[in-house]
Amino acid sequence: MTDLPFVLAGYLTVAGAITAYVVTLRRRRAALRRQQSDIARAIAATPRTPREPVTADGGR
Amino acid sequence: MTKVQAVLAGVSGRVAGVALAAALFAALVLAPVDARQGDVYRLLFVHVPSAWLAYLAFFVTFVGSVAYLLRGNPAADRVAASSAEVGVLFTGLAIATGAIWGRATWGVWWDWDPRLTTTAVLFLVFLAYVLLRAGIAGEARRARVSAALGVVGFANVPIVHFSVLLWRSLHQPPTVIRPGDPTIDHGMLAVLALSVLAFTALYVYLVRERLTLEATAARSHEHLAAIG
Repeated sequence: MTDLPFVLAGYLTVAGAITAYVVTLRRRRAALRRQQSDIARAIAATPRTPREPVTADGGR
Repeated sequence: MTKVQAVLAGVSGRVAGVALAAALFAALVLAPVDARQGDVYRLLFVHVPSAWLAYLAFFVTFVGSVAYLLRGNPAADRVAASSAEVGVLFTGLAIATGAIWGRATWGVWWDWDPRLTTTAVLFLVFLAYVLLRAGIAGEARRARVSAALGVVGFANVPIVHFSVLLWRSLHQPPTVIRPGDPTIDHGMLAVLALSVLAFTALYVYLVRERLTLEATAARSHEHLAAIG
């Protein structure tokens, strides 16, 4: 194949760009999922303020 | 993501992978050598599918944008945005592979030819679309502004396609999407069709992945809003 460097450059550019995009998407998704777990853990660890008992008519 | 969605995502990835492997084999081994260009014409099998995906992706963005403007459905906005990002990737690849092919056949990486210039404008408009989305706070405003840009940006697609007929161009005229029979050898056309199908499967997979990311981001925002 006499034009191998050009053909190779074209195919490798396409393969490299697509692979990089897929890896980026997966990393972004993994980062978002980590953020969600952190939020869930933070909510679970937050102590809840005890409320005063309230009757149905709003009296205490 | 439900179990069914996860299975479908896995299937679309595998279908794209197998189709791409078959297309690569056909493009580099089975397709006949071109009488004038030799082997460098094999860039056709990645250049044309990339350009086709740019058209398809921005058409989907156009449809999603119109749907959002008419009905205000956030899902339509997410589809439009996901498709636009994938479209930018493939427009960039069409330009890059075209530049490599141009260097081998025309002797230059770039020329201010109508097809090349209109494609560069298309790339920049949708790159602006992606960057603009990242810079606008407020879901509804971001969706409205990007939908307007999605509709206006798509108007360039027919200009890109017909630029080789509207103006005197160094780029060859359409060989497949044209009135009458395609002006390409049938063996080469079969391999090109396989490559276009494989790239379309890849587009479906990438948009699905991008949509999953959008859904995950939306859930994160809901969580953050819930805790104030």
